[in-house]
Amino acid sequence: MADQIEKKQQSGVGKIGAFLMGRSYYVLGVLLFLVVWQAASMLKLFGNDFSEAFSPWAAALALVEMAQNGDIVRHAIPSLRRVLVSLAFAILVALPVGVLVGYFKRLEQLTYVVFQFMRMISPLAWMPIAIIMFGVGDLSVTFLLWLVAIWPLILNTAHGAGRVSPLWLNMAKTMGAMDAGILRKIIIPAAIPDMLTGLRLAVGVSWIILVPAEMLGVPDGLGYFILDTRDRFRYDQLMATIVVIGAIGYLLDSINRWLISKYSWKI
Amino acid sequence: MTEGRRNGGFWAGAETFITLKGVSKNFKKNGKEITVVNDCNLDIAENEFLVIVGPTGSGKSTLLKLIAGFEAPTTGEIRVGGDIIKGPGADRGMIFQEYALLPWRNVLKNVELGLEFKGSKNEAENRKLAMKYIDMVGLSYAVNKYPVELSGGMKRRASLAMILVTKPKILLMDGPFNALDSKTKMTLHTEITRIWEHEHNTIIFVTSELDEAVKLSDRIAVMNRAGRIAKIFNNDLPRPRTGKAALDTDFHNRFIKLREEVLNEVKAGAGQAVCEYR
Repeated sequence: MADQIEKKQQSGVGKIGAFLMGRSYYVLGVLLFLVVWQAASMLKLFGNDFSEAFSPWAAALALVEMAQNGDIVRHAIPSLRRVLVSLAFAILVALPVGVLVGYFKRLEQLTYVVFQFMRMISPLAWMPIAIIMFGVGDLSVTFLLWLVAIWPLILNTAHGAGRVSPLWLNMAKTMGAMDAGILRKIIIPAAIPDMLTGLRLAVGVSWIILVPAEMLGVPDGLGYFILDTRDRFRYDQLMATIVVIGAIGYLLDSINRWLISKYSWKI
Repeated sequence: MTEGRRNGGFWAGAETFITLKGVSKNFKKNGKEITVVNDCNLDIAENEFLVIVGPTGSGKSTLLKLIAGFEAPTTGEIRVGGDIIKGPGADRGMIFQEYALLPWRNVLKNVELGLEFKGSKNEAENRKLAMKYIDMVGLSYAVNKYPVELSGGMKRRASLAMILVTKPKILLMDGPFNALDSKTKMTLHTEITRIWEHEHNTIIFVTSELDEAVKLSDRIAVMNRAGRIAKIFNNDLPRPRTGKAALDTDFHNRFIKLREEVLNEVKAGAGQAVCEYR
């Protein structure tokens, strides 16, 4: 109530001002972060020898250099490819499994302990096994990413499918709906918001696991490039790569947030 | 269908459409077997408007669920058009006490749902049919609204249209107008009567309000705490029963008299239990 009255009292100019004011804090936060980062570098917090190279300014210059010589694209593309391929396979497995587990109480009980147990294991622990199974290279990395992405997808989809109101199911039955129709028109749409939440979590954790996974003997990717810059003592490029990793992660999460806001329904 | 039918309530010559023979339903509660519906026998004619009343716990909602096919009777049989029913079916559209609208679909899409289940792929045709029933329940101004934006009365109307569009021969209504304000309720009474006269459905309607029961019904079945059908009243009041007709003194007196008789029967059937009917 108070909000509405306040809104009415604001003039058009005031509204624009308020909007910018709201945004300005986001910008200010980033600027403050850069100041702290620069200060840390100037105070030699990264060590006497390399603090200069770790400064935001050095990173910015390296970023321009890497954009021009193609290093960013050369390593970001394989990284994104690995994450997207593993996500695609994870979705392929997790959505049907999640719907079944969510819908059938017995199946949920049957899988509960195993799923909760498995999801707490870092996929990197599987790394030696992955290398034995798939050898060093792309396939192992993709497998590890797949293994980390399926749990949030399965568990959230199951939660969504389990939330289906019995009332909707009864209504569908009284309309003469068949099982396939109920699945397609009621259970899956009902679970979509939770599926998207699962997707957001899966993307986040995949992107985080990607970097260490790419340190396992692949010839490209942002994780690989971190080690490469270190070996070449190019700490400015290392910092720039970290910035790129963060930026792409932020972008991926923004896409997911947009999907959630677009496809979620409210009761 | 004869004209006399409209003004005469249920009459002996009518052909039976729904038959309940010795229908009982037991539930296990705290390890004890309790009988909720007890040896109910009922013949319902095609296009009849039957209202079931009874004190809390008399099994009237359970009886409706049995006819809908959501529950199977422990003993006895229920036939529709001569066939024993096996589970829910599109011939018996149930309108629930709670709203069953899908929150991710707007009113139009919700009403189209039943047609999609039937497999009719013609979108233009589906839309036309859905709009017809949305018009019928007086909700055409809100076709694009989502359930979260609808008032209680609007949700009832939408639920009604959702079921009506599937053209069920039988409408099973479980307290569909409970908890609505009296003005909305009166409008919906008029509309359900109009729809029933237009679509020739057979309606079985459970309510806890006697005014509603007397206003709508051809017959009123009173259930008691033992889960039995204690008595069935014929309701001979002429239709229409709203507007000017309701102001007629003779009509009014007959209305009150029937209501009083039904009330006494309900109270008798409630026994020691608190009776919410007045």
